[in-house]
Amino acid sequence: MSAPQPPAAGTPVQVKLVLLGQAAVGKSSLVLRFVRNEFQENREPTIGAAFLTQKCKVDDKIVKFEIWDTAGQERFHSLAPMYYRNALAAIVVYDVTSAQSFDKAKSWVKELQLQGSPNVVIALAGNKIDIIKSEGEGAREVPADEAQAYANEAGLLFFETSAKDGTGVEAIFNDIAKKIPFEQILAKANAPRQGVNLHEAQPTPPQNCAC
Amino acid sequence: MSVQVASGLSSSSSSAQALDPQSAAWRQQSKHFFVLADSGKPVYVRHGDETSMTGLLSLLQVLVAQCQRHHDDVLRSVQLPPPAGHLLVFLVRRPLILVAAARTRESEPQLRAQLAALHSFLLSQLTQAQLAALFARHPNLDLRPLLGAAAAAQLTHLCDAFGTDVRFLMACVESVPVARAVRKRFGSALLRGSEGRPNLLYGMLLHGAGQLISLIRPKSHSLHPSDLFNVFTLVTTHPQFRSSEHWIPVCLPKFNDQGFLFAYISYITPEMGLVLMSSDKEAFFEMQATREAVIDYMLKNGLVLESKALDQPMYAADLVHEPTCKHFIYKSKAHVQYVQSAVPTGMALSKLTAKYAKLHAALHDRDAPMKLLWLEGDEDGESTLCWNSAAFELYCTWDAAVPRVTAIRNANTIAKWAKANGEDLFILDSPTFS
Repeated sequence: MSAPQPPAAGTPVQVKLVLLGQAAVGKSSLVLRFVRNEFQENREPTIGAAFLTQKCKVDDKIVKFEIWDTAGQERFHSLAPMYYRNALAAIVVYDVTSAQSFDKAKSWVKELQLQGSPNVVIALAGNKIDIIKSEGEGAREVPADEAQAYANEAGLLFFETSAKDGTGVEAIFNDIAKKIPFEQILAKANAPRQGVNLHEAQPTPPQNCAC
Repeated sequence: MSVQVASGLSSSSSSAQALDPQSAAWRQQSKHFFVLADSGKPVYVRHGDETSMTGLLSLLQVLVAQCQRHHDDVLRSVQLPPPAGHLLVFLVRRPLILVAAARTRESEPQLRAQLAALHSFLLSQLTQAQLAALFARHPNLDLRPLLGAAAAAQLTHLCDAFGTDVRFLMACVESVPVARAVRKRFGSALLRGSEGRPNLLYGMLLHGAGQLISLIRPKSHSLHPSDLFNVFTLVTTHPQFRSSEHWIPVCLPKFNDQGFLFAYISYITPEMGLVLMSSDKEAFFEMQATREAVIDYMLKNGLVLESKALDQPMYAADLVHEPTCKHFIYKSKAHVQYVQSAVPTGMALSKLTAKYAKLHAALHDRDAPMKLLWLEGDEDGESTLCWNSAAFELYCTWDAAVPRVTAIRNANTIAKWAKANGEDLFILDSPTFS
């Protein structure tokens, strides 16, 4: 039996990513900017969760993000574990003009660190930075340095973003992709082929999803 | 039992107006909906800011409570005297109270059916079990944050749809006319997709704004029209479903008002939506694989092309070969479904719906139901007819210049056509699996 092969060049590595955060902070808009490079003013609130995919190239690898864009409304909170379970990455979003949404973001980070995958890469996104650009610092409720300090302390990537003008959106997904422990994932993905599975079975998304 | 307490409330018409702090614009609305908790706390109102209506909502709550306490009866309706003249209709479904206040000339049963549809939709978002538990723990709970903006927006959409969508008058599903053999193949596509998917409960293909193309279900479970309406309301009022796959919890109250099912929603073509329902919240990828199999079958069997044909509107004039009949609705009682012709441009849906509501009320009047009603030359220069036979209900609209004899001949032509083409117009049997 041959030694495990690294995946053929061009075979995408699947990365399950979940977006969490209070209602109306712009989770869906960030995803829409990343996946379709679009922006809609006054988008309707998400119901349940939307599932989208997007490939991006990081170094020599192709990463296929499988994105769960969850509803921010409290009613759907109890479903969140279903989406962040086994997720390799999470983007926790708040609105820079809402201190309350920042508190909610912190509680999501806490929940993820307690209940999420052990090595989940978490990025904190302070969205709607375009409002600060157009209306000045007076509109801001969450100082960037405060959020940065919190992110450092909690071990998170941190970006201020605008889904509206695109600021920081590519960067956040790129930096997440760079931080994913691919070697581990590939080792796990190849494990069954070696005939001996040293890892606990890790449910991975089916390979046949064709979108 | 219907309790008419109008006489005792003559003073409340002025006080109800005084209680409302809002503008004349609020009062000029022809129809209001209020949903409140047993406690009198607002849950949803159609017009205005519910936080400024505490007085009015308390009054409604007290009316219901007094009727219960002193007459051991459920308050059903109150007719306010002129000049306000609203008909207040109540639906008490603890822990919620739903009220319509309308001067639209809609009948009490029609308004009550609308309240029932609102209630059913609310339960599709928060199950009866959840509501009961929440209010048992916190009788003064404010439900609005929990319900959220998305559900409130959909309730508003639903309230407005009562005035523009005849589905709620017909109280059954609208079918898309399609040749029987083709419909069978759409059903086969769903069945093929369902093979080897143990967690699939219901599968349906919808068209446009909520017409049913095909439905598959387990042998042991049928699907109640009001549950289907909830699915349609959910799917068609949320534009995001057209652009990406979704996985959402939804309760179908007639199926089981205690728990959620999960709906996989994905549009196959811009006008054709696929909804797959499961009781397993983890079944998203299984449903996604079902979709792939359905699409694969549809591509191999030319059904994607066929689906384009469904987008072609059907005009009444094409059927009766006289360009006079503007619009019709034919409801088959045996199939519990209806079809309608395309609404010609320039014809307002709200006016059309109001006209048919008037006919429908006369047809279904409890004391003196009618078989046939012809209303000649209304203020829009149109004549309308409804015909209630053992097999169908037919509603038609003509230009007022059309003589009655011609209209009756048209109506007969449509009835004959519908009878002869029933197999293509209606879903005869939903494919089942065991």
